[in-house]
Amino acid sequence: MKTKEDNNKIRQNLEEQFKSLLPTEDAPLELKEEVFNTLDTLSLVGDIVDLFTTKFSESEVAFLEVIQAPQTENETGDFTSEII
Amino acid sequence: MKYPDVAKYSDLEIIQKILEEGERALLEVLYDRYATKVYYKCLGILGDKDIAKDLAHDVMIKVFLNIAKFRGTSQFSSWVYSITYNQCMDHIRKRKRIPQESLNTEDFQYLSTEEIELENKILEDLKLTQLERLLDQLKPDDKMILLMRYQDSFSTRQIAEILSISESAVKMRLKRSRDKLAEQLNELQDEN
Repeated sequence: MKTKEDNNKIRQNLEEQFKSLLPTEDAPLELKEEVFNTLDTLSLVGDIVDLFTTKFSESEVAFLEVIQAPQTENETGDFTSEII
Repeated sequence: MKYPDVAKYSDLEIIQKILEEGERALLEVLYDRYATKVYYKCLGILGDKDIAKDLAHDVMIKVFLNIAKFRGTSQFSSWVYSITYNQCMDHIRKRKRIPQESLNTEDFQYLSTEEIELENKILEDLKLTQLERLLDQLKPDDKMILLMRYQDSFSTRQIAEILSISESAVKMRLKRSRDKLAEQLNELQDEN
């Protein structure tokens, strides 16, 4: 009958052998370029989505404020410069 | 260079700097630390360079996109490898359309002592050169669980979480995979 000590020894042996299997060469060089190109693309897509959602809405609000601003000025301000 | 001592930084320190400063160069440091290991894990499990490259690509993207979710409660390497195994498992499931196995845990509890002893005796004599050859002959899911347990020292609980199965199912699978390894080693020794 195997003791706990024997089982630990076997497990230790397996771990040693499996850990020795770790790579000795680098991953393909093109992989790095592909990963960072994908990250750049995702970042660009994120920026575009942001542009047409958050930033577009903000721009609309800002634009409306600009349109409304002269009316407010007209109601209270001086018209002389515009008439001339 | 902005970070001259970057090689001395721990993974966690690098992640904190990435989150604080959004420095892309630091992502490259993490890439350099892990991409090769991830690639070779995928290659070891699936045995195909193109598939391994595609999976390693997807793993690294997932790691970088989810880096803010890493809490530091475990080692970063374990987190990266769990994503790697998940990705490989997804690939294997899609490719083979493997149904979730119904594992009878009672079978595990009543394995004969003789059977366990024989398997242990065989595995006790395992040599590295043999292991590489034997792993090539195992099915991807058997290879994967053995790598998780013996290369990355994941606990059965961690493996259960990664594979979304119960701990007793993990023990059963580990037993089955070790059996196969022992069986093949036995055949190899008989041949010699």
